[in-house]
Amino acid sequence: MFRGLIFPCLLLMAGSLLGQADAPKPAAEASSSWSLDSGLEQFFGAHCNDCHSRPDPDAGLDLSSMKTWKDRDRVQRVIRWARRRVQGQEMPPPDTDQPRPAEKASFVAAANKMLRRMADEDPQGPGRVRVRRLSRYEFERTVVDILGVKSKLIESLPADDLGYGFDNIGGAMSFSLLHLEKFQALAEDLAERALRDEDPDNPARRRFVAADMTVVTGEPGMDSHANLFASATIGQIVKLPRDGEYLIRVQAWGDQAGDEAARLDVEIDNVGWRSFDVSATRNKAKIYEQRTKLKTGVNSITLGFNNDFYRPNHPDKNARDRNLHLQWMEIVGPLDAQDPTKAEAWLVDRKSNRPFKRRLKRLVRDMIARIWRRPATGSESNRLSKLILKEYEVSNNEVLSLRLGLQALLSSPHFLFRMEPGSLRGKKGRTYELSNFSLATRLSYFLWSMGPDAALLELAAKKKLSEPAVLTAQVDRMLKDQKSRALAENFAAQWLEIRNLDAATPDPERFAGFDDELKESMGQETIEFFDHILRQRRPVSELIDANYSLLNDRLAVHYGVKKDRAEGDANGFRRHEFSQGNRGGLLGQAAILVVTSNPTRTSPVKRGKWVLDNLLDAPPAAPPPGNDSFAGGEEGINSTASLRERLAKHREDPLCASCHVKMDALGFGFENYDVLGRWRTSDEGGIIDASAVLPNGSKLATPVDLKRIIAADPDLPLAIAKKLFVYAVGREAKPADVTRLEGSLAEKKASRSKPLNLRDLVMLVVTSDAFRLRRAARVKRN
Amino acid sequence: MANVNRKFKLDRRTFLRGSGVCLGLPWLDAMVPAFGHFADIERTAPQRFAFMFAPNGMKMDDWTPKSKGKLGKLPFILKPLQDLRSEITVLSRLDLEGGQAQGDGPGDHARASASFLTSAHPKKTGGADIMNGVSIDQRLAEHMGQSTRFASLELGMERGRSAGNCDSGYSCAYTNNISWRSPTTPVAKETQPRAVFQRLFGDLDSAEGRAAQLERERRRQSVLDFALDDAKKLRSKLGAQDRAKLDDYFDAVRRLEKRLSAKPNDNKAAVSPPKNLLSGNGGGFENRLDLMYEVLTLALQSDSTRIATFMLGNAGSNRSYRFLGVASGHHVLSHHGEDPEALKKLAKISHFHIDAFFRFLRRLADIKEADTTLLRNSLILYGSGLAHSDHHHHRGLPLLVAGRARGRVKAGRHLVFKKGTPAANLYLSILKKAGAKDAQFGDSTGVLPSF
Repeated sequence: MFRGLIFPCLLLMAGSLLGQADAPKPAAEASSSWSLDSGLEQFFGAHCNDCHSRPDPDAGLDLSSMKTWKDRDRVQRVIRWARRRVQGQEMPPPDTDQPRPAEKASFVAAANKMLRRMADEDPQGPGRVRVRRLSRYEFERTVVDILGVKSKLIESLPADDLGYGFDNIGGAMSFSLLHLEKFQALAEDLAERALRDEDPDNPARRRFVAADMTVVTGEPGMDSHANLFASATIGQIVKLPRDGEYLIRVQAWGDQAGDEAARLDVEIDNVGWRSFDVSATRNKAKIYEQRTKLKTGVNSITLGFNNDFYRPNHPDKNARDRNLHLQWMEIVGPLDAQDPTKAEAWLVDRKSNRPFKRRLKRLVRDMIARIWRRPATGSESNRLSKLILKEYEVSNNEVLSLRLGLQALLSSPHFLFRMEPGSLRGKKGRTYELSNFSLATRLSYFLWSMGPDAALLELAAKKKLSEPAVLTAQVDRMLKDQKSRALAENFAAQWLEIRNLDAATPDPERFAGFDDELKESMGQETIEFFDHILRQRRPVSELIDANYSLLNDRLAVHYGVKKDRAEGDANGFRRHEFSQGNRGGLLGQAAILVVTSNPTRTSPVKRGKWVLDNLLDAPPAAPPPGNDSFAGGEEGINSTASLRERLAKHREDPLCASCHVKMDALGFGFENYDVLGRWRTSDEGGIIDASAVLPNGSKLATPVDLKRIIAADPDLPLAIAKKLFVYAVGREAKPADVTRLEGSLAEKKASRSKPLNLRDLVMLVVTSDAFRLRRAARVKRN
Repeated sequence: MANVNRKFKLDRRTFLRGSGVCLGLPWLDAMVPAFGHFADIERTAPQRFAFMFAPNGMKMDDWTPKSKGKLGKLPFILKPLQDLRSEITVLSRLDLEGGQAQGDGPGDHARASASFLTSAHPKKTGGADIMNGVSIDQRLAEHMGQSTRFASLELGMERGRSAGNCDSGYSCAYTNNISWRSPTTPVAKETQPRAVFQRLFGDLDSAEGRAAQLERERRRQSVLDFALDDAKKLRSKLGAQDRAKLDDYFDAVRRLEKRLSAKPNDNKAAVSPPKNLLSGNGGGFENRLDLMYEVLTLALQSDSTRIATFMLGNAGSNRSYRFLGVASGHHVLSHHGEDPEALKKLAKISHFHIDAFFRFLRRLADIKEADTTLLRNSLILYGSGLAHSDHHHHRGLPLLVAGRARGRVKAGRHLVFKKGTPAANLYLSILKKAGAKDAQFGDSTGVLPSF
């Protein structure tokens, strides 16, 4: 049984992950010749080929034929996998003849050598990255940084399609007509918000002739005025540029009768605002006005007459009929002064005496440099100037003209895409350094998720940024800056999959209390925690084995470490040390426990897979088609006990066991956390049993064990570095990239006594060839 | 009450033309804003084509009618269509070979959506080199999309995952899109009914007059010109792959320009927004689904577009249909392992979706066009890219079409094809019915007999 469980497991994993099935079809250039290290060949021959050879190799992996493989990437993946298996005591299977320690050591050394050699000879070099469109998150941060304003329309952008788990992978990001429409509307809205057409000395005046307004109730007579002879209301929709103070003015008069004046009732958005006694009389119309707050966008304002008075038989002819006559309404404002937006402070100068045309030259250059992240060419400046001046001729309004310029820059491919021009230089396949400006952009989007700031652009202009010492110093400066919180919000939130919190739907009947505040608190905890580890330069392993986290009161109550919430404390996240070792670190964080659960129950499988995918860089192969369900289905499972039973059963199937032995074991370590991440010791099925045995024999029974095992795993730093690499460079990490990362990691480790921290990993990625260099593309002129 | 004879009522249409659109305001509910206009459908009665994608396969025995030929009593999932069965054609035993693994291992959900309308075998990639085929709707749009403001319309109910992997090494581009303009370019979809309505007919929040709108369009036009100029210059400086990306941008700019320069439709009748659209997006998934169908109806009715796709869920959707009393996720349920309880719930979800689809068809059937109905002028495919949910294969798919493509389909039947007939044959047949002369679509081997 043991063999049945473990043996095919490890092989199949290797097979389906690395075999023909998943391997990309070899590119012509990837198939250049290579030779298998004789040490490896020997080891395979002695310990592996018994099972892994034709005619029916276990897991479809025929190691005996490796020599003849054309796909270099596949060779490297399989060697890496084999090394991991042998090192982790998982292969050869425990019930077979084991290699002697010395044999193992020399196998590992040979594997290392082989991987290094193949990486060095890799024809892909630093690789090529496809042009990247700004992701939604990047777009928003970039414009806030430049203009100081946001737009709600950002919500309307189509979802960014993910590649390799991230939303900033050039190849996976599409651009269709819908994108263009949304980006256009966004550019327009942002430009309007950034450059407001407001002159404090001369507020906008919107006049509406009453006779043209719409009839809401009653039957007023409309001629040159609106004549409200009986109870009636007329209304007007007013679109306003922003929330603020406005003056509402109405010119009116009344036919007076009875013992009160004609009354004008004004409602704003169907709510009574105020009433005016219109005592003015025919030919002596007066203006009735008052300031009020109105909101941005659409406001409905109605003018009503509700104290109609009609005594046709009254002896006094002038006391028979009370009517209200309205001439016009004006909305003036906004009147409240507002701080200039970042864009206004930058571009608008109402006090200047120099003619707009003269000032524009400089403005245009600045705008292009900042928004397109590199200096303008002469022709670009000219074209933008022309666009703006043409508008200026029509409107004679500086702000409106600059606004159009801004709108054009924001809709341009130079802004929306991260161009890395220069790729046509040299022959195909030649490697060249990215331009300093392209480097500045890669760096700033990696660490800040926004465009480069003035300091980076200046260094780029001087061609200094690419100097190693300068580059390193900039990384440190940028990490220190608050803007690097983007690494937590954008990178970590995707890496750890907590972005999926929004889509989580725990069954409210079983798991009450999952409201928006709790959900946000959960996501926030993980972001704060990652940010803390990064900023305080804590060891990478502390992500896992910390005995603390950062909590607000809501979470503290949720975790049961605090009885009540303090008044008015929703956002304060503070470091909390847990007295018991279970909680603390990523693995006990609710966000992660929620996104790895099903709506009605926890999922040890998903949790185990999450660990393998994200922390150990050992993603299990997906189940073969048609084999990815429990016999008997999921519905009967409503307790951990029945789940454990069911999982044990499906591990009897060697096909399932191949991956699930490890995945389930890791997953069971989390069983004390329920769907919402709360601690539990029992559920409907009885006492929670969180014990499990890993394929290499190590046992775990509590989250403490789980933390210890994962924190100590040598693959943890490499797994994180690899994720950072994908996010930073915008493409898949190929086997050669991983080997290079591994090499730099080892060097770094050897060069000092302190443990690795996240800054080290960031630095590793930034200084990698793939980040700084690029391979020339094929030039096809047409 | 004096001077009654001096009073007159404002023509509301006049008012609206003057001051733009007024919505979200209870006191204006009665008004019909002049968003868009129904074209002269009476005269043209164009064909319309729409494609609905249901995720996670089907409980086939509750889908497939017992006997061939004339449709009689429909099985559980299709039951809501009973009264409309004379307009329905159930198509059995059609295969999507492109969806099969073909040595690529797991990832059937991604392949189900990617191949659903393309009949292609999508390249397995996490994003580096996406490669699929052109989808039938986009081919139709190319063939007949020029005459409408929107060559095609892409709708969905789910935005898509925001972290992690979508399906076993396949980029989310495959699970989130069924419309493919080119093998490398999926067409993004819109998931909020309100946004779709605004895109088609105008800004709901805007109180702008026509003059202001024209002014806005003029500015947009000059911005587009500027961007196009950039793109042209840039193009010559990029490598082939990057150029392809930029060409997507290019292509979009050209199409948008064309739309901006097109003359608005004739003023035949005004389009008014569905009621719930005004009060936000109203309620949960059920309401949003109905609203989306309503907006789609308006799009087709007003001849704003003649081609549409609608993803009722993304591939592998794990939505919890709690309002049906089904708390487990849809995807989890689809791995039922023949558990009767799970199967029942799975069928319940499919039944719910067919019920919503029925309400959509009912609306189309109630819209008179010339001497027939909008439904009869249309051909609307409904189905999934997976057959048996748990087996994850793509053969013998659950597919049906509603409508008659303007008399080109003899509806009301259950057609059972020869084993191994590609779904692409259906698509080739559809192209033929649309008047295209294509000899091949995807892996087609010919047109469907007797369809």
